[in-house]
Amino acid sequence: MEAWLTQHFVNSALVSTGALMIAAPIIIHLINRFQYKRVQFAAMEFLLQSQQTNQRRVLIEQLLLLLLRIILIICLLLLIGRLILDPNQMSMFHGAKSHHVIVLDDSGSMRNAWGEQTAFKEGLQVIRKIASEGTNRPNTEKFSLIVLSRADAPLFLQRDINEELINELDAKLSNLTCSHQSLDLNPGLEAAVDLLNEDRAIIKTLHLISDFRKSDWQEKKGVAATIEKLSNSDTAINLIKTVPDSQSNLAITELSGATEVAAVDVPLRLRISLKNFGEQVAEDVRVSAFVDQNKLPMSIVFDKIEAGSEISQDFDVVFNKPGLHQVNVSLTNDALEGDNDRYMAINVKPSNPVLIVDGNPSGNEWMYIQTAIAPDAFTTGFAPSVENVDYLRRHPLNQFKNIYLLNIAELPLDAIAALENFVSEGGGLIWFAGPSLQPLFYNEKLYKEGNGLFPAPLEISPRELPTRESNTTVDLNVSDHPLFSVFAGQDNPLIEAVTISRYFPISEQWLQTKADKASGVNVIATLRNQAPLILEHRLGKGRIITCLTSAGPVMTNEGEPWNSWALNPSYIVFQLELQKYLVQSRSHEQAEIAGAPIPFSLDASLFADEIEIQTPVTQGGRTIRLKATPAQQPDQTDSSTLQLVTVYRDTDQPGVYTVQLKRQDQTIEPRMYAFNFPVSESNLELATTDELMQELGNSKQIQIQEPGEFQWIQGQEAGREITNALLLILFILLVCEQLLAYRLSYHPKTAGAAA
Amino acid sequence: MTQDYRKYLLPEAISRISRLEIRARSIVEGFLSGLHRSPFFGQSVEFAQHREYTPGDDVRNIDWKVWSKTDKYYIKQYEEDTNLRTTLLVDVSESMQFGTGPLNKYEYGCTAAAALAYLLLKQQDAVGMVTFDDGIRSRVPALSKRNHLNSLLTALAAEKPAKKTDIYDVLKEVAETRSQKGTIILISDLFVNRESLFKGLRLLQYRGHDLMLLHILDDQELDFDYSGTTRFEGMEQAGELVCDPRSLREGYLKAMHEFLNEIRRRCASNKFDYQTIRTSEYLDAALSHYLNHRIGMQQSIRQ
Repeated sequence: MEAWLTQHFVNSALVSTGALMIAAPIIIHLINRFQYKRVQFAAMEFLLQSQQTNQRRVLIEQLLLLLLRIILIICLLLLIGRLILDPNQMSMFHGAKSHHVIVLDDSGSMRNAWGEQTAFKEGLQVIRKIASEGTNRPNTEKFSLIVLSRADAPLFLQRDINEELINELDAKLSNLTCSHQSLDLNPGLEAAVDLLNEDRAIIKTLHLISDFRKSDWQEKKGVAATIEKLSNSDTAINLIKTVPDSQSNLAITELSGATEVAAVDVPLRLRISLKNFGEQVAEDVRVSAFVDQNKLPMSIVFDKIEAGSEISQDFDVVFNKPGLHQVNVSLTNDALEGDNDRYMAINVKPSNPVLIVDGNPSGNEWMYIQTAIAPDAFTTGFAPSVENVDYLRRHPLNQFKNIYLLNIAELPLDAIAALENFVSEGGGLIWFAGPSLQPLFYNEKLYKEGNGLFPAPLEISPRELPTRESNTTVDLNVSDHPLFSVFAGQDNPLIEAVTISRYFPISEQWLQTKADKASGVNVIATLRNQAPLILEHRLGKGRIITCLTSAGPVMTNEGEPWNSWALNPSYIVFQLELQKYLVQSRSHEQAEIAGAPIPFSLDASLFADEIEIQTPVTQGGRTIRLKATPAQQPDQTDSSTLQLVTVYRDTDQPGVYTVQLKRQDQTIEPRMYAFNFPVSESNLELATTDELMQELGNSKQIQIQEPGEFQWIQGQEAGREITNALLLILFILLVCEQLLAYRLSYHPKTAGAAA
Repeated sequence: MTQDYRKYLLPEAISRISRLEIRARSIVEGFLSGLHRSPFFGQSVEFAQHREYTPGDDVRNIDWKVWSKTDKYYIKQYEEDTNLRTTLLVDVSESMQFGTGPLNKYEYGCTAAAALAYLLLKQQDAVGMVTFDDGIRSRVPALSKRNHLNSLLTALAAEKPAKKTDIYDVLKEVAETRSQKGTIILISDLFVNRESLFKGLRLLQYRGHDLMLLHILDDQELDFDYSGTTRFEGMEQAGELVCDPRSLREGYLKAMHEFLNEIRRRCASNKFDYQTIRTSEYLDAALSHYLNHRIGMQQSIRQ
């Protein structure tokens, strides 16, 4: 009975006590019946006569009046007790043993601030209100809290709501901060589904507290499906909005550059992109740049950013010292603080070594390359070293950024293995053909049916490109590839001037049988006769660029050069772009997204197991020590070296994390990891209630609560319809009661008329 | 009850009666001067007419002077002068004790009877009185002496009404004892068996009496203005009832009106003079009604 009451009444305690009130009309009737006055009456004859004729009518009328009054009391009781016919309709705290699972979205966009308030604080406020409302009904409410960034470990799990919980909740919530991550709602909802499915007998309510951005909800079939699943399993779903209005936001969406080629005293070109997520044009936006937390004496000025558009600018940074440096750019504050800063960690080398292997020691193609990439050690930052083929076998290659292989006839097999290893780990390899090249060896040992260092099988001999008949055509047709972005556009006179007369053609059969894209080989430049000239393919992490003509103007037997490219200024540009392009594949990401873990896998023979991590200085840097543990290696027992592994996960704070690895020789190897606010969180446009409903389907189980409104917590909205109906019934009953009472009672006027 | 019979001559009532006396006297004087003739013949000094003797007539009334002249027997007839005999029949049963105003029905009835007696005695009329409940309680012979009023009032005051009214026996007894014709004024609430009432009244009428009914009823009996649960205890062992009077009011009033209508109808058909008087009405109502009645008697039933 008590369970039924609590299930159907908001104020169930009032109902049980108030039920006694139903007896009131009966008691009053009985009291009236027994407390009478005595009257000596003479005309009893007529009175008895009247009583005899009216006895039944009077009895019925009085019973009817009594019944009406009892119903009136019942109606009042229902109103005060706040009856709710459909328990599911009750938004809050309505039933016996109901379970409230709260999923709190703490993704980066919840940091959205207006005035002193943020979306996240608003969310915490809602949680507190829900919990404190729950204390009004002790021992009937269970409470679970899932924070989205830790969906696998609920903050509270099926706890009864009582004072103890409130205190604990207060403590935990005041320490809870909003993450900087881009989080998917679905894992949180799935966790909630699991929780709710655990106990089937009780009334279940899911509260999802989020800012409900458009980008989070549009086309998210997974979320919609999970919610549908919940609503089908009799779970009331409360979507609680925390942000009143969409706000404009400027975000730094990109800070990038060819950081792998950064060298001391060589200007490094960095690119910064700003996106205006608002609906108004942003003007005169200034961005400050910092190197190692020292502000650079300049501002990057964006005069005008149209609503919804993204604009990029380049700026140069020069590093005076080798080693690890951090660069960050900063905007003035707006609605979302997290995306106003962007960080980058750069390892600046004294110089970047590049290996050039020339198959023809007497030739001078290497010279063209060397001159192109390092006319002077301090202007480009590259340090080319020219070696012969044997060097590949005897020396470790991973010190080099890129390796040029020019006019190689054949390679020793161990050199091929070393090169494959080098490329697989992210090294860049550049092939230039030449007269010494042995196509059969290439096809057999290097092509390896598409799995080798060479992209495609070659014809057995080089081929002449017929001489140009007119000046309107060009020998070198470049594609829309980043390498050639410098030459993009209608006019590229430099490229037009290049003449190519000899090249190694790709096997016709291969061209016909294998669509180049399908095989992972990308033709990025062709000749006049549409024959491929420059190809790109991948091996492991690394990229390989293959140019089917010579690196320099090698003379043919006829005394003609293979090509004139090396003499053309575009050659230098191409070579430098090539360096930057290839090293990118090797670099680990320039910056991670906040929240991504840092995995460590250290060679036990080189490193001690101690790792020291310094969190970002800008946010009060802390030093954390980790201990790496030996990895489990079930397959390799003796052959490989022991690896020490560990993972650092607490990278929610955007900024640069400095890691110090202790080597066995007690020296320190520093590393830097930059973590940035996810760009996907920057768009603060909110989904409207209608859009949400459309996305989720108009289920009765789903309630959407507007921000700043808390009435639903007290269940004030629930049962409003029945309240109105009850009020109407009460009114009708009152009118009926009055009419009946008037009819049954004595009125002097009519009495006078009758007399 | 004390012998304080004077309470029936309350100053207010007396003053009203005094004013009425002026009207009454003029009517009586008019009666004496022929405007208001006696409907009966009696022993008087004023000769009215001669009538031929028929056997059975009192031989004392034979006018021998006429016989001597005409040799026929004629008898002399005289106007009956002070031979208006009025008998006040006052109901003093328990039901008359009911009253919600300053006076209950008994008190009102007695007051009215006293006032009438006073008026009649002032006119030198003979007034007798019979009080009754289930039987005759007291009987005062009709006399026209001025000091006769005292004995009348004493008869009223001495009664302790307690018993149920049974009216036929009373009326029958009155008819038997009041052999001289006159006016009989019945002052009662008439809560009696209607059949025996009218049977008795008709008997009186048959004996040549002129009948007048003053039906005294309390306001509450006519209006039934009670409210709230009430236990009604019937006087004269009429039972009791606990009820909400408002719910029974309609039925009660209906029954009461039926009762009054029945009385009125039967009085009209029997040529009884009938008047309902509320105890809240002025005490002179009975006197006014009486005088009106007497005026109406100008249309005499002289034989």
